[in-house]
Amino acid sequence: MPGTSNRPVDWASLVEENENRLYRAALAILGHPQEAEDAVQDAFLKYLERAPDQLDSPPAWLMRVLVNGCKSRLRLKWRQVLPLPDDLPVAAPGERDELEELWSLPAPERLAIHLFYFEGYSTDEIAHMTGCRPGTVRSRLSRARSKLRTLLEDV
Amino acid sequence: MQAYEAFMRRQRLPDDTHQKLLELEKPPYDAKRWERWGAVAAALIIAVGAILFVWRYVNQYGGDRGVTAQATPSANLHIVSGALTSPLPMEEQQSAGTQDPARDQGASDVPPSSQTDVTAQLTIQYVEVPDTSSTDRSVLNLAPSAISPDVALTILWDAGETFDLLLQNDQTGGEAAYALSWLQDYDISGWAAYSKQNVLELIVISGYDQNTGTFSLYIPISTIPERLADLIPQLPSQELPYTYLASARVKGWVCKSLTSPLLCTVTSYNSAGIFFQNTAYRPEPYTEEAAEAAIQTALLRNDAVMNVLCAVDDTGDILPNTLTHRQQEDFIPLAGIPLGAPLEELSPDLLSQLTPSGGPIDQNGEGFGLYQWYDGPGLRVLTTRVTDETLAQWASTPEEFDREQGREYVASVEITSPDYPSPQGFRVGDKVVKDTLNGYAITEGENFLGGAIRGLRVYVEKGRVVRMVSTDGGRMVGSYFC
Repeated sequence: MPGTSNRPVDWASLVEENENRLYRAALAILGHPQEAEDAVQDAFLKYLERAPDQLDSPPAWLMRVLVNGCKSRLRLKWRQVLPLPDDLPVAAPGERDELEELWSLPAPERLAIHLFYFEGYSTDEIAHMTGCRPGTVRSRLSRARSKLRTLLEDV
Repeated sequence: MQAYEAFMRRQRLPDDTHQKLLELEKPPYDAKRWERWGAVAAALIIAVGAILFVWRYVNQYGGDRGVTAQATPSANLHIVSGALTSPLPMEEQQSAGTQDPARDQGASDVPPSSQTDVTAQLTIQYVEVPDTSSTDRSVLNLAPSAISPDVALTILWDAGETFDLLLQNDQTGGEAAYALSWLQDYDISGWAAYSKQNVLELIVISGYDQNTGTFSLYIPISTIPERLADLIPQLPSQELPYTYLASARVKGWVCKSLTSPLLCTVTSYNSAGIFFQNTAYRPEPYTEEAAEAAIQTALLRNDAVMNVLCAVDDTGDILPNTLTHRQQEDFIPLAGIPLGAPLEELSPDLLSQLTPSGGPIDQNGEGFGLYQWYDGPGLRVLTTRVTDETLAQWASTPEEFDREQGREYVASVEITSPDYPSPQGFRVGDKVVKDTLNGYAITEGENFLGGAIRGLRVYVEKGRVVRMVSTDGGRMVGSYFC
């Protein structure tokens, strides 16, 4: 009912500008498309329910909520390391090895790698989104890089 | 990363989910409220039903055996209610007695055979009631005042909203909460702090990570969600007698950790007042009672539990060389020199290469401590020591005075040679590429890597590392830090 909707007036643009970015981040953390979709929906729902009126950066707020939601989902299943699930979208030839290496990382390191290299955020921005200290983000990146190097050498 | 990027670029939210998002509506509050009331009503119905069921059994079996209404029903009802609410094994419930002495007295009048019969039948009801025994009593019974790592993690995970509040209030450790919640990064431990009256005051949860150090989160009891309250041990920590640690008179509370030696949280104070890591409380006039009161006040302020950890033996005595007034893992050693260590404990090889290059001076001009610099090949060491005047006031025994007089402690290490890499792999001469050094961001405007990596600062000039400095966070000496 258009006249009674309680969505913000720019809701459609907010969704379109952020949904895929959030979905990819959720996929990077959870490794499962359906759970990633659910996590994205939860994040937008929380935006409707709880977002403060004056937000400096709705995308950053959404990302933070998404990350916390993903953490809760991981916690429920106590999944520390996710193998590349069979139902993940099909990887192109040559992609699978690298994806498996990345998915073998612990979730926090995987998230740090995703946000830093794929989304292009700075470590300070990632720290703000994930609620940890910049030094923690840097150490995660460092550890992830060293592990990836080891994995690549092993291959 | 190319394959990963290519893969991720293709990932998009399915169209139907996209459509759902566009049509997403905020749930009406009234509906949520009705849901809550519905849940409450359902719980009440279940509770009333359970009570009626129990009452029916009590009347039926207790009455049939002809025991008095005051004695038998009460005694048997207690056992049942214990089974409904307590996860303790039935044997423990029976031995524990009731909270009502009159009922306990009555229970002793009940013939053993009839009590056993009724209990056995009513226990079946307990099995059918939804599980209320989520508390890990076995863990808590082992260490009454400690919070097991699992429970500490549960509190961290499930009290997210609380920590949001802590973050907004900028309380100590609030920022660490989310970092702690990543399981694989931190060893989590916790304990409960009690007042002198054995009233639970706050929860302390700590996490240790070899790369990022130790964090402590102080959580006031009032912010612990009710659903988690039962996880917290209900017995106070063992209180340590007054003792002396590094010549400071201290008092502490011991709790056992399941994964580490006994831990001791210590507050320290002496005749001049009470001193904590960051705050000094000076009750005037000073009395033991005032000191105790100040400790309790400080506990309530959440900033008083000193981050002093030490290992103690089974009797509560501090084991030698285990006291860490400063959490040394928080400090980054350079050139293998431990910050906070007495200078004379450095290796003879290193000591032979160090020559005094400055000081001693009272840099702060307060007459408390003196700074001294030493230069070696590619490095500089700054030490601090207390003045004799301060030591005379601070030392509790002549032996302590003799031991500490003139004793210097490493306060800072500066590296100007590429021979000494930092634990992160930084070296003097390393090139900084696009504001990053080996992936670490350079703090803009300050030209060094500082607070984010604890006490380590990496100075950069013209795109290259020129020196690195690791600094001790401060050493408590008697009544002040130097």
